[in-house]
Amino acid sequence: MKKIKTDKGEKQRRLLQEYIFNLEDVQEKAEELAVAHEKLKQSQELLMAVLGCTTHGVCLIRNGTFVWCNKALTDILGWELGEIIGKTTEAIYPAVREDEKANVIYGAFQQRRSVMHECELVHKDGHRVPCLVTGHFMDGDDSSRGYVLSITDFTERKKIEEELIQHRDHLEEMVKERTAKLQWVNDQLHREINERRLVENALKESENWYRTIFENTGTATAILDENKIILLANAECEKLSGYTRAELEGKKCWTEFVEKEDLDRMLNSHKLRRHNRDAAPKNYEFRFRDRNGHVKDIILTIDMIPGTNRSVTSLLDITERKKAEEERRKSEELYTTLIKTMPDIVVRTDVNGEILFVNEVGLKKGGYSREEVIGHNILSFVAPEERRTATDTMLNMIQQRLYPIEYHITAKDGRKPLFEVNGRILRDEDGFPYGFVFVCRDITERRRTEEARQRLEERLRRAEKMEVLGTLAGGVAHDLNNVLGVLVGYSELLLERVPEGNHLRKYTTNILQSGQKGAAIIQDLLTLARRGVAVSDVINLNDIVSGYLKSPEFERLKKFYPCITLDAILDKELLNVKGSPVHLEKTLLNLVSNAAEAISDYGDITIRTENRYLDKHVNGYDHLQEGDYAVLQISDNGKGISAADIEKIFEPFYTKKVMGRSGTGLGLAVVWGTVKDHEGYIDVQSKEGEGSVFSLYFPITREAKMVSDLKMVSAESYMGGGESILVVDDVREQRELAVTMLSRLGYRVNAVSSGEEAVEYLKARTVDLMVLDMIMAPGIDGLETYKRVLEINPKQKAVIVSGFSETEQVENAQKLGAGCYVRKPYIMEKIGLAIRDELLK
Amino acid sequence: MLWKGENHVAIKKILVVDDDKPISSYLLRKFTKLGYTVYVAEDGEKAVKQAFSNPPDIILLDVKLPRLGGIEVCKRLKADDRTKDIPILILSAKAQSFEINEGLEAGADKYLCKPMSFPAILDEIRAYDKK
Repeated sequence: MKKIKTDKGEKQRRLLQEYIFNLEDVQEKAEELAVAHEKLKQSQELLMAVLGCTTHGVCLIRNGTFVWCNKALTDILGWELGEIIGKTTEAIYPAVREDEKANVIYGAFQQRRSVMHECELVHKDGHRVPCLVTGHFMDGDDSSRGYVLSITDFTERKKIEEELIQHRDHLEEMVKERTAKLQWVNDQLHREINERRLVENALKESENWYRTIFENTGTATAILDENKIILLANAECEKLSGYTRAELEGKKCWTEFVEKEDLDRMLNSHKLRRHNRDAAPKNYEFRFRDRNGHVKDIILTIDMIPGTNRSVTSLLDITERKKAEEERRKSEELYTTLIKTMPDIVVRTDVNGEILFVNEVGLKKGGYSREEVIGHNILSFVAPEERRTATDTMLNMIQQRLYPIEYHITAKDGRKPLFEVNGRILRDEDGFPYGFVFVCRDITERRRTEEARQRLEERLRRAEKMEVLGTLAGGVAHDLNNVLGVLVGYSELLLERVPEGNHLRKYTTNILQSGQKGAAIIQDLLTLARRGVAVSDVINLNDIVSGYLKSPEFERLKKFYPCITLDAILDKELLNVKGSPVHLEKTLLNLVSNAAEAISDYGDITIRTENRYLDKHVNGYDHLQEGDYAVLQISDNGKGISAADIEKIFEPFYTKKVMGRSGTGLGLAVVWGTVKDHEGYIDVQSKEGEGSVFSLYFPITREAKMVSDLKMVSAESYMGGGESILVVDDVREQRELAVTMLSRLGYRVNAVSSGEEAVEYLKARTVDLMVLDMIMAPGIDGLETYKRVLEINPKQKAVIVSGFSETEQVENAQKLGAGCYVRKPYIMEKIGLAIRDELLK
Repeated sequence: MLWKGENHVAIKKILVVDDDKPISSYLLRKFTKLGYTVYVAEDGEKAVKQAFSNPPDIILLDVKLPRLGGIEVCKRLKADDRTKDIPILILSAKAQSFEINEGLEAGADKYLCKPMSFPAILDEIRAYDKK
């Protein structure tokens, strides 16, 4: 064909391809076969090993004959391996007829089906072995066809089974017996339960009663076991402890609530009580600590519950009661202490005033014993003149009108101290009065102190008044002095020019004297201002008196009051005082004039001096301090001073005199001021119609008295020698007066009107001395002027003149080197001497 | 045995086209054993029909076939979109060079000449696993 034609090799290739594939196939199958063979061999070995190890007998039967068996089968049936192979199955199976079960096997054999049955096989020695036989037919070719039997020995299992059956029978027997017993017991129980139910009902009822009582006792009640656990607690327990019942019951020990100090004692009782119910106390107090840590006082009542180890306890909170008791005790103690320690008398009486109680103070103050007071009427101790009032007061008290009232109480020794009595009525619950309580305070001393204070206040008020007026007067004095200075100065100059015998001389003299008198009044005012008094001289008051008695003023007084006798009793040993003679003379003069004026017709005036030592302070008219004093006393038997007036007599411008007849209204004020400047005291005793005594106390000094200044100075001693003087004064009249006076004294005088001018003046030229006014306005004052002048000329001499008194500025100027201080208004002699002294330094 | 599991990653379905029954059944048995799904077509028409209806992953194609020749089958399959990417291995007893050229020109991916052992054929198939 076409195919063959084209390629001969093609067919060969095709065949070859088929051949290769066949070859490959065969080779593969051969390989697979080898593998299968190997596996079979392994499997066979495994099977043999398994069959060799198992306890199950395995055998192969072919045509009714054993062809193979394992070791286990020989063990089960007692045959040796060699003995059994070739034997028929009848050798191990009993005769067919005897055992129908065996038929099963034979039947199975014939029908070639699998079988499993229990039967007895025959052991080699003839005994029967119970076995489980499993048979399986193996089909195949003749060589492999046969029956495989697996035989399991049941002997042990049978034995166990029999035993089990025996046991089971025995058990069943026992169960029967038991059941019968249980039935009986059950019946019994039923009966008992019924009985118990009855009892329980009764018990429940009883328990309800007790529960109700337990809950409603109103006190905390609890049941405790021997381990101290709270088994049962009522609602009050919850309140007391702060825990709920659930928290308390069965959980808490009562010991947790007991304060440490009480615990040992209570634990002891707890134990003791369980040994002998009556051995431990059944009531006691202890301190209970609740959940919040509050400690309460508790009365505990406890007893055992008979026949148990439990106790029942009730707890009564007495904290408030205790507190109240304590409060009451404290309050009583407080009152008792109060009454004992208070400085006042406390008296309690019945409604009639009969004394039921009086404190120690009352007995002490009155000086009575208790027996002398208790049972007596309180009115009998009131001063007789006040009893009426006291009775009325008590009646008022019953009518609720209460107020303190003052009584004098009669003490046993007759004293009648003043008491402020506060009373209160005591009423019972129905408001019915059943007594009085009086608190009596001794106000004798208080009253005295009050009076003293009043006096002191009055004195202070007076002193202040004087001070104010004095300051006022002092302020006026300065200007007035300048005016008077001119008056005095020019009248003096005029007197020198008017020849003796000229009638103008009398006028001039009058002007001069009036000026001087005016200056004296100014000095009084300055004295009141307490600034013008130099108390540095050592003086004997006797000299002052003597001097006064020789003075023209006294002569004038004698003439004016011819009917008055004056006596002077002077202590020769009188001690010196430090003071200002002028002021003291003035003081004496004022007092004597006043004494004279107090005597309307005939009368006596006595001037007395003496040393007096006050060893304690005296509250007289003045408040006198202790110490050594020289006393100047002026007494008269005139009309005296009324009590109303006596407080005011030292006030400035207070006068009883007829105006114009004498005085300035400053007389006694000057006396007061002078004495105060001398650090002394004044006592005044006076009775209207009997006269007055003025005693002036001056503190003494031990310094010796200076020789008295020369009274008379010759004009030559203070005449100038042509030295140059610069007058510095802001007041024109003063300047001119000074220039005139100093020119007359023989000095070369220039004047300037201010400090600044003075400084300018001294820059250009020098002067031997300055007469320097201290107070200048406007511009720098005397002190500043002097300071500046000293810068120009450190050795500049100066005399200070001032209308005012010695001030701080004067002192400061003197410290800087200025010389003496001359008070305005001055006369030629004074300023002349001052200048002369300064120039001679 | 190591081939199993590796080879059928890409190529699972093989269409064997051969009218020689012993060859095709041997290939069918061997490939199936290795886990491939194998279809067998005894002639060219069946082959084309089978390839269109159920496109295989690779085609092992004989040339001398009844009804429709292998060359013609190759041309048709390569001309159709559904099958043009399927690798076609010609396994033929025709081994002359013009015959080989004719096969390759018809679009066959490879031209194998019979006789070949199965392992050799398998190697050729496996070569397309990775492509």
